[in-house]
Amino acid sequence: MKITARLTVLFLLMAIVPTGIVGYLGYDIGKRTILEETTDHLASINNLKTRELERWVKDAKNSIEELAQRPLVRQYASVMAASHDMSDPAYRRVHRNIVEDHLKPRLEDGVFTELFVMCAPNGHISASTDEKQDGKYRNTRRYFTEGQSRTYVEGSYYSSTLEQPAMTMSTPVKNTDGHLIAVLAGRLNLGELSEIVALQSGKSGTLDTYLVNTFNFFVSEPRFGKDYVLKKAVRTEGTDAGLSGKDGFGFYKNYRGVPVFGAYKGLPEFKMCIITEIDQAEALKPVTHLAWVIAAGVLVILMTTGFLGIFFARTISRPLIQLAAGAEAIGIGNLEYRIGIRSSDELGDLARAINEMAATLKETHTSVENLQKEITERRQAEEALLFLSARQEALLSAIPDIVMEVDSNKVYTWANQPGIEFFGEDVIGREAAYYFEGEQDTYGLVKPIFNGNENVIYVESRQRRKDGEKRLLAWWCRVLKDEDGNITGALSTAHDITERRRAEERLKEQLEELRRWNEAVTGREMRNLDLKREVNELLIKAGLSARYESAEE
Amino acid sequence: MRNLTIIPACLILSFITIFGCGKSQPPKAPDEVKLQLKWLHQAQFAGFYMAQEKGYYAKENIKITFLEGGQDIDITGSILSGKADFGVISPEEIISNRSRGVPLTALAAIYRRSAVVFAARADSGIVRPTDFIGKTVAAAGKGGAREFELQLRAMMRKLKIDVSKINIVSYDSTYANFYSGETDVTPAYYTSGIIKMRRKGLKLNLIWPSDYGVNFYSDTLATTDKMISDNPDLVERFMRATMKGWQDAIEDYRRAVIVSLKYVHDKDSDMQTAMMEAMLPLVHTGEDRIGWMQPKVWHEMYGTLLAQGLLEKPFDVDQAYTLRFIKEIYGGKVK
Repeated sequence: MKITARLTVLFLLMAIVPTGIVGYLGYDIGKRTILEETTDHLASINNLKTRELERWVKDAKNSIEELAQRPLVRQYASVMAASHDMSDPAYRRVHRNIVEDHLKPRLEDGVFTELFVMCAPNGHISASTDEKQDGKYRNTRRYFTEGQSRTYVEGSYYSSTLEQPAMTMSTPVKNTDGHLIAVLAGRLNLGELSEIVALQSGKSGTLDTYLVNTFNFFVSEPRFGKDYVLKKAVRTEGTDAGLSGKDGFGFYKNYRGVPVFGAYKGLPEFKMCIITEIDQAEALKPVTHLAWVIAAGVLVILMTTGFLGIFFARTISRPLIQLAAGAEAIGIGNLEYRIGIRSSDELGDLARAINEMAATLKETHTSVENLQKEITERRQAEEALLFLSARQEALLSAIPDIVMEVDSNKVYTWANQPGIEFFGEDVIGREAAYYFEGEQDTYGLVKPIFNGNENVIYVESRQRRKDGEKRLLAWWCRVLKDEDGNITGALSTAHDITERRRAEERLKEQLEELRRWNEAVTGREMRNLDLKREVNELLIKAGLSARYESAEE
Repeated sequence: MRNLTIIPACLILSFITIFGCGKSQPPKAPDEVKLQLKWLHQAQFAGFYMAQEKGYYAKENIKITFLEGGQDIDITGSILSGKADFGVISPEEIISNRSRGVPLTALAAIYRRSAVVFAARADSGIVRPTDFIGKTVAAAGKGGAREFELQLRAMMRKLKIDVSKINIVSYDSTYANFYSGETDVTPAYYTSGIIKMRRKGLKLNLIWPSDYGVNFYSDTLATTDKMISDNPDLVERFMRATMKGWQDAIEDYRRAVIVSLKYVHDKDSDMQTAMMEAMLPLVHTGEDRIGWMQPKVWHEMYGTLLAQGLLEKPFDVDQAYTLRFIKEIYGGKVK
């Protein structure tokens, strides 16, 4: 991975992690806050509606109890309880009075849709604001049986008689002695109940409040339902919790199958629960909005960081690329190369350092080159020398004569093969005098060499061969000097002249003998010649011819 | 250590024993149950269809077969002969049969308000039974229509009205005479006849016998005493599934209509919906659990039938029904 990419990714990571965390925290806190607010809102709606409902029921209770306690109502009721005969004028008058003067005016409040009086003990409706209900029997209904002793609210149910949902409140009507005469009942206006429950303030598009009874039926119309009251049941997490008396909230699917955020509250006194719901989509809209804002923010930060990352990465990588190129160029030997970075930062320092390094390298390279050259020359010289010395050695070895070198102390320092063969392997390091035989003044003879007076001196010396035989060696000594001309020793060649000398001496003796013989021969010849001349002289004298040619001729 | 290893080993073994053996046993063949319906397939029996469609019968290991009722079907005979195991039957049938010693017992009341209602034109001025005096009421009949006359007489008796002052004529299931004005009042089932009349655009005054102290159950679920004594477990399972089906039907009647349409002959969805809507308050009265029965109502029904001389001989009406199973499935909870 290239450094630009790596740095860009690093920048992005450095940006993404903190912004992600901050974004998430922001989102989470925002979400919690919004949800808490929503929860509070829904719960407060429930509380508000519950209070309204309670007040509504309480008003209704007060209203019906007040009616039941009116002396005239009690009086009329006792008359009606005594006679069920509509043909009785007294009954009819009482009936008209109770309906027209007491029950009907109360309907104007809108709390009740119908008010009726059921006589004890058979539940016969002796007076009703709905004359169709007159004469019916309600003895089996709970609102009649329960209403005989207290004010009772019959939970919502669907009345087949009324062909509509009903909720009935009943209260006893007692005479002055406290004996039950009748039960006064009122049909609560469920329409008004629905209105109270459903009435919404605010602009929410999905906020929905409704009541559900213990049979899971709607008691008030939900916002998105028509004719649901006591005709449609609803079972959701909210209704289950609310009907079990709990007060809380949750996320679940509502009666429409839509995911909602709902608050529920049990109303055990009404055998109902109140539910206020808002679509999750709406409730979470601010959260979604927040999420989008955060996401957009994060995106912007990421893009900015990305661009900045690329930019910064380039500002770093470009000189690095230059540096790399420079180092490569210098690396392959182009020591003339100079990196053109002028910046005053670390990279500039590095470039300068590399440039300096190249310069130094170049210098070093030059001296190394020279050294190399010198080494090469020296090696060549050495090789030549070695060759030469081998040649000399060969030459020296090829010479049958002994060649020996001594230092200024006359100690042998070198010998050629014939020398070693003559003196033995241990000759090197021995003084020359060690091998001398008999009295001799060899040292004295060669002294001029060591004094620097002579360069070459011939000297003969008897010396002991390694087999112990005395031999006569004829030495040619030559001075050796160092560069300053100081005498360092001498190089001498020696030839074994023992045999030659003996031969010479023998030859000399033979020559002497020959000379002596010659001399002897020559005397006789002379005498011969003298004799011949004397013969000739005598023959001439004798007259005879000379017999011998004249020796003088 | 050895003891410690024994514990998980025992646990594993017990799991194998509990679940392993449970699985290795072949599933018990479902009990075949035949239910005799009171009438032809219609939304009236929606709860049974729902129980079947939602698999409640299958869950109780019951394979249900619905036997259709009809004009000529003897519901009681079907149950007694063993052709059907259970039947949807009117309580009057049970009580009158029981008085003859026929061992039929009601298990639950599906329609806890009678669907029988008397209808008069809204402009006729007939709003209560007293208004029937001197009017023509088409309530006389046999078979299915018998309960109309029964309830009319019971109602009049309650109100101490002399029935002879009412001109009772034969019940006309087409309501032609009612439409023409020949008859002033006609009984009808709230779940069917009334719907038909209203669909004709008629405005009606409805006079409910129940408003005048005649409390009758309509459809009850019944079986033989033998079934109860021999196979109480099956009865309980059948009841549990059935009541769940009815609960679902009541709670979502629109779906119940859709389910019912799979069975009914009359595919008129509007009619079935209207029938279902009409049924709701009769099945779910807002009092007690679905199917629950009150001894008081049984006594009232018995009293009414006895008073009208419709029973062969008096008997203990508490034998005609049992709350045993309904209590069992609701865990004793009335509400």
